[in-house]
Amino acid sequence: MLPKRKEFFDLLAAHSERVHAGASALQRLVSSLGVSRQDVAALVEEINMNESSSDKIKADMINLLHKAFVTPLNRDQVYQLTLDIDGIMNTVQDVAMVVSDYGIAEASRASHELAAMTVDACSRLTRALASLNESSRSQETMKLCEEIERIEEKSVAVMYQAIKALFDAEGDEVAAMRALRMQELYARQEKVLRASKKAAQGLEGILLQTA
Amino acid sequence: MEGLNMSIWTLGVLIFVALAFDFMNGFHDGANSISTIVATGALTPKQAVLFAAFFNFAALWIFQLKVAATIGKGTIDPQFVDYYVIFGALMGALAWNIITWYYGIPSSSSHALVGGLVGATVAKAQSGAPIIWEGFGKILAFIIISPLVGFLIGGFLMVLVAWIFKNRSPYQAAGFFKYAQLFAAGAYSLGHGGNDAQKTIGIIWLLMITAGIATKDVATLPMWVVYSCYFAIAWGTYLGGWRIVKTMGTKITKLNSISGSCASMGGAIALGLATGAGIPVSTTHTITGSIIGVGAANDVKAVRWAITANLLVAWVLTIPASGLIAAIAWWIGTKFL
Amino acid sequence: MFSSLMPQRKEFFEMLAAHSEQVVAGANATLRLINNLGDGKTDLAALVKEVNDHEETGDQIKAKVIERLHQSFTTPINRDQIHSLIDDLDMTLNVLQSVANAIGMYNIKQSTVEARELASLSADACMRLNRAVAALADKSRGAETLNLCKEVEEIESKADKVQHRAIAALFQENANVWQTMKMREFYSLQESVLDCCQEAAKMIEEILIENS
Repeated sequence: MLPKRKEFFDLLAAHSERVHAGASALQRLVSSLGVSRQDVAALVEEINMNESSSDKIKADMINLLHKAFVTPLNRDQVYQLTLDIDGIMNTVQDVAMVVSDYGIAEASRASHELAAMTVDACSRLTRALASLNESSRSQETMKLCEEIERIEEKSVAVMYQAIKALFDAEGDEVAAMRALRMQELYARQEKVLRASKKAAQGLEGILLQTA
Repeated sequence: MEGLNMSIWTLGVLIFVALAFDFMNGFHDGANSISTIVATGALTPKQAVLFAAFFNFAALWIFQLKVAATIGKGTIDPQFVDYYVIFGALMGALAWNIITWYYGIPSSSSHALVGGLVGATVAKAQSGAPIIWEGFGKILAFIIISPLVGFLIGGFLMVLVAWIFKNRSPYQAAGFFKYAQLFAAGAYSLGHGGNDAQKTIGIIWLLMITAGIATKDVATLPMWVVYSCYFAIAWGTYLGGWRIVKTMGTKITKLNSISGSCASMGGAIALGLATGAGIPVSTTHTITGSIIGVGAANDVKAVRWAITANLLVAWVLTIPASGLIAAIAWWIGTKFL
Repeated sequence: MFSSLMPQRKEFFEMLAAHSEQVVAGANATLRLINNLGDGKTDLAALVKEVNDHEETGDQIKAKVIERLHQSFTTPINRDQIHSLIDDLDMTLNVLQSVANAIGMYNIKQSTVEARELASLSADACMRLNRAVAALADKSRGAETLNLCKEVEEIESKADKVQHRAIAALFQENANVWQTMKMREFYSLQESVLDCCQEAAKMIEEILIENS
């Protein structure tokens, strides 16, 4: 009836580690685009595995929240945070799906940049969640959340430049198809960062409350 | 005196029932103070329960036996008391406690006891003559006064704390309150033990006066009575655990470590004052008043006034209802025992 | 009786109102930008900069609100509600910024009837949002505020219809593929502004319900 405090934090940490692993697989996937089809396929599979493992952790957390009489953090907020973390994982999977659905076989500099930013944001989220257990480290957690939000802002600028390049010189049908594909990819990649920002904001909200 | 004809065995059984009542009291609400401690993770449930039990017992060394005296000789004239009366009183109180427990109403076992005592005595005397209005009137008045005092102190503490920590978020202040709530809960447990254990001491004292073992002089009261009453309430607290706390902590208004500290401390101060003045009050009513005061300070809408109103009805009913049951129990007792 | 003795902290309402004013200013600048697109006389870059500046100011106000939340023991309405509302308002401003910048990003030279319509709907919604936020502190104006929120939601569903109409127009025969691609994205960004407004309006409703 009384789960240890630690269980919640362990689950949150495990969850964010899954997401981090997913983000790093995504980065490798972007690097493999146009290099090796087998690698791309394997990495899509790796992302899907991380996603299902993230789903499982989400289910475990909801289960824990249901049976727990006391929670170390506000119950609704833990729930929302879990949904947010899971949301990041889903957007990562969406990127992988766009890659296969749209037959994307090239990676631009912007795509690399966005993938690297995603890993940056997710690693910060993992660290932020690791320090959540200790209220004495709340400053550190706050700072990490702010950094995630800054990264997201930068990613918007990267996306902007990349999409602008696609549409500036209107060209033939091939160029139009490329613009269609790549814009979707950039937009999806940016969504991962937006989802990370949402989780960071949720975390900020948690730091404002007391149990 | 009729009582003298009764065997020592009957006396023993009645003392045992009184102690069982005391134990139930601890079992019931001795843990009121520790809900927020467990909820915020400051102590594990086991530690918290031990903690509350210890302070319930420690009240023994803090308070004089003034509350016991009010119950034992200040509410009804001991002359009218016999074993049947005590039997009726205990049965009335127990029955009312079980009824309110079943319906989840945090009513006062103290008032049930007083109501039972008065009810059984009046039934026996067939008149209100044995009632000592000075003592009984005080108890009646404090049905209203004690929650009110709890309300005022609890609310005042919350306001005070809000101004002291004005520029810090509750999250940052939580570090301080992790310790403050331990202090407050300890104080509240002292107040609970002090006031409630003494009521049973008072009943047993009354029994002993009836049996001729003790007199109205406190010095004649055997120390083992005092020790066993405090022990019974502490043991009840230990075993009753944190189960019932849920209602108190969550139904009326939500408590966190900060509001929990203020509520416990408010209750502790109000109980300490009453115990020091020798007034048997309801610990339940007092802490409820304090919780409502804290809730009203945080947000008037956070207080579920409808539940509060239900509580008030139960409180007012306690003395007449337990008195009536006690009178019936007394009558049955005289017929069959 | 005790709640009036607690520290009041009315400045949160002021900061929220100040932020929503930036939202309105951003929405109006975006409206002017879209209305004057392609007339050759307006300094479009200056208008985009104006939107960006409002967004910047909004960010600063939001940062201040969060900082103050960390420095306040009591808040006039729930802490997490203040946090959510400022996030929603800030999101609205962010998307407005995206709309303004999308003109350059997609190299859009001409605006359309639908784009102008959507822009004026979002300016309308933001204006109502601003009035609702400004009245948030005044409990006696609860009904009025609630009404404003309802209106924001109505405007949003109107915008939905405009967006559908606009997209249908894009896919008519002889459409230019580049124009279709660009405007489809652009409309969807414009519609997101209204979605954000709706989110904020719902948050205000939640606050009103809990505090009435």
